[in-house]
Amino acid sequence: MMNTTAAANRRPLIQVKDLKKHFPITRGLFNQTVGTVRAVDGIDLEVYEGETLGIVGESGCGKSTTGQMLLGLLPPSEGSVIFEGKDLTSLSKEELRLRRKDLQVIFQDPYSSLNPRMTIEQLVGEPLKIYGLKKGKALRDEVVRLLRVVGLDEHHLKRHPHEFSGGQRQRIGIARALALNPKVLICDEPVSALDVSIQAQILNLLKKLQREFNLTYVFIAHGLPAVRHISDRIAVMYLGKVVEITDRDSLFESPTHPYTEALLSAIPVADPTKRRTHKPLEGDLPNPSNPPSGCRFHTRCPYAQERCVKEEPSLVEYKPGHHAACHYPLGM
Amino acid sequence: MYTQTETEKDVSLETPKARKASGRFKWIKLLLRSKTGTLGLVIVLAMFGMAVFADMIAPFNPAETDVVNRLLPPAWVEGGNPDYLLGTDNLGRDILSRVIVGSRVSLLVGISAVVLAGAIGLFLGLLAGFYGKWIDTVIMRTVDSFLAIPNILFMLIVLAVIGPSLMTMIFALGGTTWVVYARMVRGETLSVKERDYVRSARAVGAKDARIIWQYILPNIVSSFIVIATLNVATTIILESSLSFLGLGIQPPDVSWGLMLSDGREYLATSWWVATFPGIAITITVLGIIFLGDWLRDVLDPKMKIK
Amino acid sequence: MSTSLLNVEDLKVRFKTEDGIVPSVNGVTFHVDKGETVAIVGESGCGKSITSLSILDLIPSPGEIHHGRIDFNGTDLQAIKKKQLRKLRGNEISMIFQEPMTSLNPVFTIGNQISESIRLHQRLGKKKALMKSIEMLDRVGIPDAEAVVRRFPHQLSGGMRQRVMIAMALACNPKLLIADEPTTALDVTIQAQILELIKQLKTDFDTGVILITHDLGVVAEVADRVVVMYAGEVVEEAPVEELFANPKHPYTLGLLSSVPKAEHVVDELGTIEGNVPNPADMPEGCKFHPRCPFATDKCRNEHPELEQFDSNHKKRCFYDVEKGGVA
Repeated sequence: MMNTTAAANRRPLIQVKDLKKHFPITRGLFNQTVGTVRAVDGIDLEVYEGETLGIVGESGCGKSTTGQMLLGLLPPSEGSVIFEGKDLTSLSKEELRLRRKDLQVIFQDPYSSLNPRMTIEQLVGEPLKIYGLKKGKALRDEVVRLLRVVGLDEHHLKRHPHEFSGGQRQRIGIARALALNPKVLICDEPVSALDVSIQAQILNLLKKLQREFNLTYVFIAHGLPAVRHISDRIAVMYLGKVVEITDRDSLFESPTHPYTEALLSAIPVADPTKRRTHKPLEGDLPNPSNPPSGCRFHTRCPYAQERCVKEEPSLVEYKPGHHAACHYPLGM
Repeated sequence: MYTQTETEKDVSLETPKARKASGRFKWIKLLLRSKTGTLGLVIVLAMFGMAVFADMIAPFNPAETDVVNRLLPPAWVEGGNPDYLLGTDNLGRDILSRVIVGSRVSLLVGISAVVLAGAIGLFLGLLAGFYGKWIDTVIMRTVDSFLAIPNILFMLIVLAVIGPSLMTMIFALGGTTWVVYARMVRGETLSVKERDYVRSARAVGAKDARIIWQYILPNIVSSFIVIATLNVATTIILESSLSFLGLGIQPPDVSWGLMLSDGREYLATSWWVATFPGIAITITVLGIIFLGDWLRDVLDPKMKIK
Repeated sequence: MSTSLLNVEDLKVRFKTEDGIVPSVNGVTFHVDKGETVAIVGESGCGKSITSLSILDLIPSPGEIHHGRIDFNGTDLQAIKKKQLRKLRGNEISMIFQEPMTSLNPVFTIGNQISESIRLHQRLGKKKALMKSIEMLDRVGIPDAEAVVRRFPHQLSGGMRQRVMIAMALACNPKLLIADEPTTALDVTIQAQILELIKQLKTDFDTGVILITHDLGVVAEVADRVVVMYAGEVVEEAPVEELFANPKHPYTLGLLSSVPKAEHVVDELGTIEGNVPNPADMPEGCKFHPRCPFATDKCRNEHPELEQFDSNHKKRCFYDVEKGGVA
């Protein structure tokens, strides 16, 4: 609860308004458009300074696409991303490039997100070089400082990414992202490709860095336990829409949207005495190019009624700071 | 009980077996380690030496005819003459001398045409793959139309219009074979462009030029080298077809390709006329492929010295 | 022990590479009973997948089993001929893999592939085999199975494909199912469905299951007994409740404390220091000692044996977690 009240007093650092991304499906010799995938279909979000906003959802829910749009790496089809009062979608390519100094990213796969042909020194120093911030010895010193911050050191400077384990590579990626002293880090599934014991190391490191550098995180993941561990507030996405957004404890303790409830109960609990007793959610994720009418979750929702098929629910604040998009919210 | 670690102990990096080659001797170390690489270098250097010092090495003037001694077999075959080590051709010219002198044109044409075609193909392929949209459409449709016309026909037209010379031949060969590189480079660029590390370059504010130079080019270079070295062979053979049709090298100049076509008529009776230039082509191409293989390894950061 | 469905004894697998011989599995012993689900847990490179592949002699080259014995239903799998082993594969022992897309042939229909694998082992006509395929798809919870048999793999979702793989694996009523990270590539809600299905196998078919996974949540959900592997060795083995309640090996302890819990938040997660050692350069003594917070000189010099200290609990460690000292 403390987080929500604190958040209410702060101005949002990032404000997302009615953000949409539609990808055309093209076919044939002349690239005729035969349909659209509504990867992100109208979402509103606010990210406050110094907080961690978790975004969770299953594959195809649009969480990664949202992350790319927050970074300005992918132009939205509609809507706006306002960062420190400026709409990123209205900026020119060059203005956007300069703006991106404050918005950095950590990728999921530490094996594919580092250029295999560069040394660690080049990788971590490159952002500083691009903006002409440091040169020569000062550049190297800064790279060493950054490596130490993430738990590596100067012995690693001349090495190439393939000489490191997954966890170490992820540390290198974090050092590279920190080089420009950004305000926001978008973490796109930063631990899901790592071994369990290494995941914990990286999550702890991210928490430590947030305290030290007053970073704001957007933490995108499909693994709910990791999201709960690191987030202050959590947004749950389903088929391109935010279905619920609230602070982490109310989300886990009193989920309002049936999808959140289903997602929570689907997590295997690392405790054999608490085995799941009820039946898991049935059915598959619908195709995002042809989402169901009305509430998009109605095809799998155990509580669906007639109204859900016809009418699309909008995101409503049911409790202070607790928004859900459901006609029949749980526990209300 | 378990506390967070500041520095990971790095077991895998400290194994003495896997220490990386470093310093200025890295390339030489890597070369000497690879037997085929060394062999390739030796062959290529020998061939270049032969081309440069051809006038001094060749025992005869390659254009000098001697009708009395025509179609002599190699020295070790019955009826051979020890003066003409590899025998003579239909005009009584010494084949050894012609192979030695012919290396000049063949290497020059083969390598320059590949360099030219590679440069055009690399440039256009990168443009098409990286920028996509209409640039891609224009370049790739051009490539398609080139592929639709037989290579040899296109070159014949060019050579017939401009007139045969060494330069026109290099341009004609380079101007038709670039499509192979363009297609390959475009395809590789498209796949590398979608990797996360390119996205990460954009995220740290890299401009297009940096992304192409630092991220895309180094990651497609090995496939490029493989295609280029294989193409040296194709180009040398193409040169021979042109010479055979009378639009390539004009006598008294000589090339391996020209010799191959000269020998074709006598294949049944005097095998040596076509065989020795053929062997020269094979050895050169093998040498270049070995060298290319080694080069690819050197450029790969994963290569280690034991 | 002699009644076990599968008995693996002192299995050793090595890879002959350019850099010399790299040991991958170093004397692994475990057993699976009829209708029992045994989870093999460990991080990448611990040898858990190689162990499971060696049962069916499917180790990728240049790997080879150079020691040990694998008994299935009383037959020594290494003594029998390739042809007999092929008969066992897909018939009495089936396997499902992590990525269901790459395990299915993209150019044949689902029905075609399942019937094919049925007809390999059973004398059935094409029509009958197709009927059986539909029945199997039905049993693994695929709706509208008559339509699905006519589809191609790419027309199905990831969860559906994994169900197809399971249907195919179960078509011949195997006595043992080996599932290698069967849910890692799937979404949580779909994972829950597949785990439910695996649990059902036990009651419906009395199938023994080897579940290879790194996810302790999955283990807690479906396993009866757990084998924890580290650096090519079994370091702990116990029934699932016992293992989660009373972990005895420091590695198991570390793994358990590093999992973020959905139920409550801790400020900082426990971690295991360092990285998994390189198989070509294993530490002396106990292989876990460089990462172990309790390591003593004895651990650095001597290699502990897997000892049974309780009727159903084994560990490979000198340290006594309860007494807090090295024996």
